[in-house]
Amino acid sequence: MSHKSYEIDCLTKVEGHARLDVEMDGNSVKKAEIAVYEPSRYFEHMILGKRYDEVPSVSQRICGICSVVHTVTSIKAVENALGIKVSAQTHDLRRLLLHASNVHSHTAHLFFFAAADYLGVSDVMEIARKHKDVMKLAIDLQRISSGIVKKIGGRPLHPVNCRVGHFNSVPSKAEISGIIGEFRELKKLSMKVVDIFASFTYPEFENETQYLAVAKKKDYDLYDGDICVFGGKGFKVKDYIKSLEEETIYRSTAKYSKFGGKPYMTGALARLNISGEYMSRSARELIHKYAFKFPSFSTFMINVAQALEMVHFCDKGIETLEKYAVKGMKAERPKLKLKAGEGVAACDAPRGTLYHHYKFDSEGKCTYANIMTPTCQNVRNMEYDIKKIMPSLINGKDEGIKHKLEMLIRAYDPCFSCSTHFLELKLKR
Amino acid sequence: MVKPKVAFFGMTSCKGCYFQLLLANEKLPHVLENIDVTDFWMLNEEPKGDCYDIAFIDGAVSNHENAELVREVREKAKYVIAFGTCACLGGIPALRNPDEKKHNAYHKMVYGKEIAIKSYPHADPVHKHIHVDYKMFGCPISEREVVEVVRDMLLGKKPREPDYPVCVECKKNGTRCLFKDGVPCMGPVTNAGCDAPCPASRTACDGCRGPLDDGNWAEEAKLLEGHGIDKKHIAFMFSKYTGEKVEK
Repeated sequence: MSHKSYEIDCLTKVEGHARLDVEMDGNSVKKAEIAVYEPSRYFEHMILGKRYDEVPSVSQRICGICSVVHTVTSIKAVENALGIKVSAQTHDLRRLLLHASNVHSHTAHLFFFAAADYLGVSDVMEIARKHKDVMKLAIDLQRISSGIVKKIGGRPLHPVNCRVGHFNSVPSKAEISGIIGEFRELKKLSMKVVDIFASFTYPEFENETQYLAVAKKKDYDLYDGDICVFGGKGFKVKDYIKSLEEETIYRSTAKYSKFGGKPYMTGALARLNISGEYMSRSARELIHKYAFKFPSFSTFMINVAQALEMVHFCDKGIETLEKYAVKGMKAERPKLKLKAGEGVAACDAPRGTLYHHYKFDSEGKCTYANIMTPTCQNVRNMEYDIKKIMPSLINGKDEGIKHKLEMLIRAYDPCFSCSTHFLELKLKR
Repeated sequence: MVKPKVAFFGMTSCKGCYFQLLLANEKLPHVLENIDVTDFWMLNEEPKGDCYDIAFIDGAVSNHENAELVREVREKAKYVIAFGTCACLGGIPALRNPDEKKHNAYHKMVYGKEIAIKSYPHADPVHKHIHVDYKMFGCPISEREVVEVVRDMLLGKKPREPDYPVCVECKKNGTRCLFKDGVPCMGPVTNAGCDAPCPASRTACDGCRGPLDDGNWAEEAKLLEGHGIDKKHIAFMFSKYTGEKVEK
């Protein structure tokens, strides 16, 4: 039996730095390990001693692409710890931020990172040169979705307006009807994204795993609910630390997680597998039109799931805002009372479930912080997928293997800067 | 005209400044037509460049690999631009700097054990390691500024750094001063250039573009104290993006 090892030294077209080590013994995989070598960030230390209202503004800097969901989840965890209740309007404004930023982040992943694999070009620069219409679509989607985040959150990135307990300013009636129009425009563009991603041929590959997402009964949202497990028993968000096993890996600056001792997937495909029937009508019609099969156990379908979610979350955005089209929104400035406490919150980020967990003393200073990002949770499942796909690739050339593995990992929309760059492959065969 | 070779590198950061760049509106394709992007760590498979006209460096230098890479970039680049507050000042990653001596303890707290990839106990601004020709502040950078800086450089013009506080932009935008509503703000001592979006949404400036060279720090501290903020928190507000105390 020949022994060969593969190394992908620098994974590209993902966010952050990671390396992949694969060792084969003939047709069987001896080892498939991902190492994240993004420098350690130590956020859980840097947050300590900070005042409760400064914690979200520090922790939102964990990630530049999902800063919105870090902000919202962090704020929710602070509020859960301090026992702060907020208005339905504030919850809705945060949902809107998540809807728009989901469209924004999915666009970035699908066009700047994933599309090149399927359009047969090297990278987004080539898309910009050869597929001008595709590039224009991506830029329009980015512009409009980030514009919505800016209108509601104050800035397109690292929103400032979304605070513990309230929003510093709320959109006027005229702005609300403007944003509804923008969500409608985004929806039209998102439907084109589904058309594009439905036209691609995805590698045939299935690998059933555990799928976890934040979900509520009869709803498909990102903002609140318990942790649901596809075909299994879920758990309450506050029990995450008991339910999920997080471990430090010597080779990696990211900590990896398992559920029930096994890898699991979180993100758009997990959400769709769990709550797909509650997608908006337009999104479900597209599933029917293109005969997509969900639940799906194919990792490459994450791309399709993301495109469908874009349509769905535009519909959610419109639905949420229409409640306020006539009555408008009210400025709020609730008085907060501080008390010592502990709180956990979870929201679904574009690439999966995000947990923030804090403790505060009676002066509102943070004494404990734990943050679990989606990519950290998905790494074990990437390794699990690689073990499964390798035997079918092994007779190919090294370059081809590397490319397939990168596509596979890329499908997860990994954000290795939040889990603490891209693929280095070390392949031994 | 030969297109200038432009490269983009990432050190330790949230990478948000690059996402801000990617959403730099409709002008982005136009800028791209006029430059030759040789390296973009986030998008290309292979590093291609061996010399650059302009190199953008994002993020703080927070380990040996970062330090090596910025030195290599400096050797290959005509102009180096520190891209964003992390690269200019250390930024949010530098919040760990005051605890430099406790590095081993907090590493253990976060990871529980040793790991293979070592990090410095401090996160440095790029200029601490190499000469930097221009600094673009902001957490995140302003997308408008990227287009302007690249345009100026294409024209062989030195980009203009704003040397006035955020307050000037609030006045220009007609934004009501937050102090008037009892909201303490870092605008008076913070570099402008962002077009003051935070005060426009009635949120105090928190100083993300870094300390103004001639800021009146004593007076700002008095103002903040007058709004009931304790000295310790004022110290945090003054050092949130630099990791060090501002002594002026």
